Amino acid sequence: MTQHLLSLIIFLPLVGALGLLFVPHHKEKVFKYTTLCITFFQVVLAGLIYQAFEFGSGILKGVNVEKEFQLIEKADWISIDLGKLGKLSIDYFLAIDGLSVMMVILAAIVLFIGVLASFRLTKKVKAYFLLYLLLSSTIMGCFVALDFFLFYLFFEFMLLPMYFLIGLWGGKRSGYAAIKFFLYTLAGSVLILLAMIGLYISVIDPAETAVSIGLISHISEANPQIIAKVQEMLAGNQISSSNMVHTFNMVAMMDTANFIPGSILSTVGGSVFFGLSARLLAFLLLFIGFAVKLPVVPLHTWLPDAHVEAPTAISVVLAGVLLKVGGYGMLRTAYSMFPEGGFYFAWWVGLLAMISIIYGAYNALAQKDLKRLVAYSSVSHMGFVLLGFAALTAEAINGALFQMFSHGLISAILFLITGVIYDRTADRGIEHYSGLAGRMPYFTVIVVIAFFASLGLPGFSGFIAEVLVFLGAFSSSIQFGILPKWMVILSTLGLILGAAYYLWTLQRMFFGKFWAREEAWKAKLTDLTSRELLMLVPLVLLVILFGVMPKFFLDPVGESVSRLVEYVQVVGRDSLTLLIP
Amino acid sequence: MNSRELLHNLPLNSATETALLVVALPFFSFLLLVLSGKRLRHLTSRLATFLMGLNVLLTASVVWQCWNQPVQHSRLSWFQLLSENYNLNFTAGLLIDNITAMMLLVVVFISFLVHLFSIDYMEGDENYKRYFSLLGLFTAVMLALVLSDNLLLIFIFWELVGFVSYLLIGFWFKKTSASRAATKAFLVNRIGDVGFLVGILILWGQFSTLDLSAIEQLMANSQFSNGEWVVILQQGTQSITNTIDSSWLTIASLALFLGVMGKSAQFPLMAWLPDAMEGPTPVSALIHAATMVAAGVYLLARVFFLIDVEVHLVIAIVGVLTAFMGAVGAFTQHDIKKVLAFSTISQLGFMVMGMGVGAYSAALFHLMTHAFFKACLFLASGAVIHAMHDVLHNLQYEGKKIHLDAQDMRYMGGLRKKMPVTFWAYLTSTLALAGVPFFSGFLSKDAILTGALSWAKVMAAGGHWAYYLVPILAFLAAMMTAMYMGRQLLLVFFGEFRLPSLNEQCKNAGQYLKDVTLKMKVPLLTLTIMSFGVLYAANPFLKQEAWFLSAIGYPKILAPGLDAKTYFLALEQTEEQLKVLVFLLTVVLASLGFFWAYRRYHGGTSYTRNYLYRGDPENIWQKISHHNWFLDDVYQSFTRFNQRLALLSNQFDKRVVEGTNLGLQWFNGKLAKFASSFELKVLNGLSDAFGIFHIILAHFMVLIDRYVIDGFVSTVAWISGFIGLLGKSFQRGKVQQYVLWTFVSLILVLAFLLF
Repeated sequence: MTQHLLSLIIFLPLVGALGLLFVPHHKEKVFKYTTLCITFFQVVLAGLIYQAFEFGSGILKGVNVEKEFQLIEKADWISIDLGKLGKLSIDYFLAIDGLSVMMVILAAIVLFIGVLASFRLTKKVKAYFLLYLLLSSTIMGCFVALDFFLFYLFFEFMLLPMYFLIGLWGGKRSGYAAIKFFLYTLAGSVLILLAMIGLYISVIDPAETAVSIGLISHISEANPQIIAKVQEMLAGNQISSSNMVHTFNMVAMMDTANFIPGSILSTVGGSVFFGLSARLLAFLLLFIGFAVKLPVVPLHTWLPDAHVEAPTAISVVLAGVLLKVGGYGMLRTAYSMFPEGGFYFAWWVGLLAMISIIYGAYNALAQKDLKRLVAYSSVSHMGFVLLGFAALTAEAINGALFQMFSHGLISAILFLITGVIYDRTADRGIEHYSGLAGRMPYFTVIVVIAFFASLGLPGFSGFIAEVLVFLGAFSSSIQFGILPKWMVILSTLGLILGAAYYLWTLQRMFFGKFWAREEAWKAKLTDLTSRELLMLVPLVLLVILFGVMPKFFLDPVGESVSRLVEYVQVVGRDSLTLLIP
Repeated sequence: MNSRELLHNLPLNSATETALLVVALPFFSFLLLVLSGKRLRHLTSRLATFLMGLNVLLTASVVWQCWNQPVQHSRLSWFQLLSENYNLNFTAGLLIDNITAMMLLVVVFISFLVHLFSIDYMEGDENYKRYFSLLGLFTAVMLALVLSDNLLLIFIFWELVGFVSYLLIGFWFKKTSASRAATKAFLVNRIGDVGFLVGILILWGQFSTLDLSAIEQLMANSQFSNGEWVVILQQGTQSITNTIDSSWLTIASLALFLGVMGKSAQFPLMAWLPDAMEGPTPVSALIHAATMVAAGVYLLARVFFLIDVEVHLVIAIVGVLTAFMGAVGAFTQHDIKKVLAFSTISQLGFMVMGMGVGAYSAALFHLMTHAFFKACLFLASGAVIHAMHDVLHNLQYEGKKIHLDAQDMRYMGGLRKKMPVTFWAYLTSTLALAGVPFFSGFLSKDAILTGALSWAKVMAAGGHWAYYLVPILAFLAAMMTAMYMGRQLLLVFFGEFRLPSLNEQCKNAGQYLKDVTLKMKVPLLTLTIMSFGVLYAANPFLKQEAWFLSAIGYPKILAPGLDAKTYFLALEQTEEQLKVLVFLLTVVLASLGFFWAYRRYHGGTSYTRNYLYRGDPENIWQKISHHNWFLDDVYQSFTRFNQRLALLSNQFDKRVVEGTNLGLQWFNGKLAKFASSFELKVLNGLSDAFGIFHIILAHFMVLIDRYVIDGFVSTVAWISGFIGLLGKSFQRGKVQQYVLWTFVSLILVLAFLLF
């Protein structure tokens, strides 16, 4: 079973959805409990994946070496001989390494909690849970697919259920928010698509090409010598274009030796547009494409709208997992395939990160709607992820990944918190309440923990993540000089502002004498139910666990990150000197 | 220097094991109380106190093992980022030297007494259990802070003590003022914390470790030349050279000092401390007088070796300014606790100044003596507040409608008769605070003042007399200590009890006034004893004989530009010359201060007689004092500035970023309209024309057919007509047909390509 864990975790919900298709729509409980079971199984599978994932030996680092990935499932999916255009090869290629393993875990946990948060749904229950299952399939697919085509398929397919889930089950302006979300993400995907096509044209699969030119008779015979030979032949223009097997394999795309000399994205004789090498341009395309998802200021405006309008569970999934697809995609494609772009644009990426951190925090400070505040705080916190990427040191990238993970958990708690209030009164105005602590003590304990975790209090996972990002960013500026020191120091302002908006919210909403704007609300504001405790407490415990024992995250992730960093440092610098002499 | 060797694991030994237990016990108490049921409220306080009592014994055993012994250090790897090329090891460990031992003793001992005191003080509070659990949590994280062996851990516990302090300041969260004070305290501290973090970033960037003992070695091997700071690290097989401008050492020192300023309430980050008095009084004694606020001074002592020598001057100036400004603030307060809060600010200023002028051990000595006598003062003031509260409560019980502030000194006066134990405790610790011989404060404050004056003399040797401003302000602040403490003592304990003369309803208030219970007396008396100088030096006049000073000794200075040996030697020699002078000055100034206070505030003066009805001050000097140099207004304008900025950026977000979206939408809309009109007019027109053309053609053909070729040509006409119709149907928006045709043509194209 371990061989097919990844396929299972992707297709389990899809199969479930297919089964549920035949259940009559009025049997609401069936949908709720089946979905709960399926996502619970996903959590179990994620646990098995964590268990099966090997680390610490220094052998299985993944990133740019296909053999070092784990739980690999690879099969030919589509191969077409295009005659003179060479051969097209799309694989069903799933595998994980340190960069993706914890994202899978996070997705499973958050999706499970999301179902619990949807339990009070009464409107179009069947459609909701079917779409939800579809969403969970595609999200998982995004994190484990290593074929760009397959990844893109999952990535695009994520949009569809999300669009309907926001649009049909959301608030008053949900139609607007859903369309906005859709258009923004679609625009981003078009850029990714462009880069993907460019990559497809430029990259060959050395192993399959070896078969194609008759060096070996079957792929399984491919070994490093053969591959090196093919790459040597490729560099010497000894392979005719009809024999080249073009591939979407992401790992192949990370080796500059697999790029056809003279093709658009090759380091040797690649194209130049507007005085900028096509490789750097492709980095930008991928970067911007995923930056929409992350989101990075100024591409963030879909996020507050989508969050405010989406139902609680969907906000939880959106902030908890979907944003991370952006960060993960950026690292897996833009930074891994065009590392020189990481160096070349580091200053600008750092600037965007700094702006996101500070700008997002200032915006959060001005919000009157609790959910909008949390949404803007997400923008600010994702800025730390970007700062980590910009720095390109081990501490920083580890920190950035950790920040994605911990923000996934913490933002899930935060959106559940807004949901708790909204469920009771259908109002989230910060100024409409006061002194909730007296009325809802357990809830307030959770809120205090979540707010302080989010503002980076030590003992919670967010602290380690942010500190690692800052440490890495600063040592990057000392060791490589790609980030200016003032940028890092100015970014720490985000920590003060973060404390400010959370503490003011606590002071205004939860402390003081109990008061609610409408008399009718007062009776409705009761403490947490057991279902709500069941969603919130495990998340809180996880946030504390990873805050006290960051080992549990950093050990599986660290080796892959170290490989990524070394590879990016070496290849990025080499390619950059080729591109910009 | 190889980083693996620098950071290797150090196993636990008996001392550090016990120290670990010392931290674990209060944390255990916290967990136990959190998880225990509501019914056990009385048991919980006793249990917590008992555990803390046990902890005193454990701590004593740690101190016994470690005092004047080689440094005890245990360390393990917390988490690491490993690979062949680098080894970033985040260690965690315990380090015990004399400073740690002193801090451990102070924290645990005072925490125990505060627990004991609180049993009766907090009796009747609805959140009794929450109170004791938080006390346990605070003690645990504070102990962890002083035991930590590296800057990251110190930072972690530094933030956590701030967090617990936030929770305890806002303990009575239903009071708006309390929740505001809590927010303010955390936010102002956060500014300092970010400074601390920046300091950590710079040190990490250079050293790739935050372990203090490793940093000490690496710092000693750093090279400073041509304005550059060069550190060579051995990472595995690689050797990494980190070079930055040496001004970054200055920045790092200033950044770390910013952290100190936040936590130890130094100017200008001091205005949170008076507000923090919103918390329960025993908490103020523990956190906001004795332990947490001293953590800044403790940190300064820990990182002193790497503080840039130019920053020493900044530290001295900020310290002495705080000492002076805090003393000024204490003059006009009516709240009994606020006077003590300002006095704490002032004394913390003394300690920080002591660090700046190189009176390192004296500053730490003052930290210790101050912890005891200030805790005593706070607990005694708590006793007074408790008694006043009882009085008001009893009056209300009689059915009288009075709502007065139990902390307001205007309603007090003459309490010494009814509360003798509290009075004697208060008197003793006041004398210690004012620096009167025979009391502990005299020894430590005198040591700091001697240090300050000697420093000025050494520094001014080059002709810069301005250095003398530091000791002059310090002596002034020392005199003012006697003045404001004399005022408080006279207003609270001497003269007549003023509450009964407020109005008819309060007439019989005096009969309810009584001294505190035994559980509160024991801590008071214990701390009173701790305020006597004899405990610290065999000869209470001679600070040189204080065992503590010799146990701490001189710090290292590894920053460039100052040779520690000659520097401290010069200071020591000058101190030797000045010690008699300073001794006389301190005694004279303290006496003058008390004398002034007596003249102005003794029972018969007009001030005292009218004190009950005194409002907030009106003249500008008193206003400056009463409103703490208007720092709050500065804070508020800063806050307002930030709020405006937030609103502005929100407007920006709505208008500009959204605007561009809308603009894009508008543009796209136009584009779409254009496209659809293009489609409607041009394309449809074209296709229609195409169709019409064919139809006309067909008709034309028909005509020809009918008249020319008849049978054969009519077939051609039919085909043309079909094509025309097909062309039209394309443009009429039948989507399914579109799709069908697209699909068909795709298959055709594929078929063409493949076969």
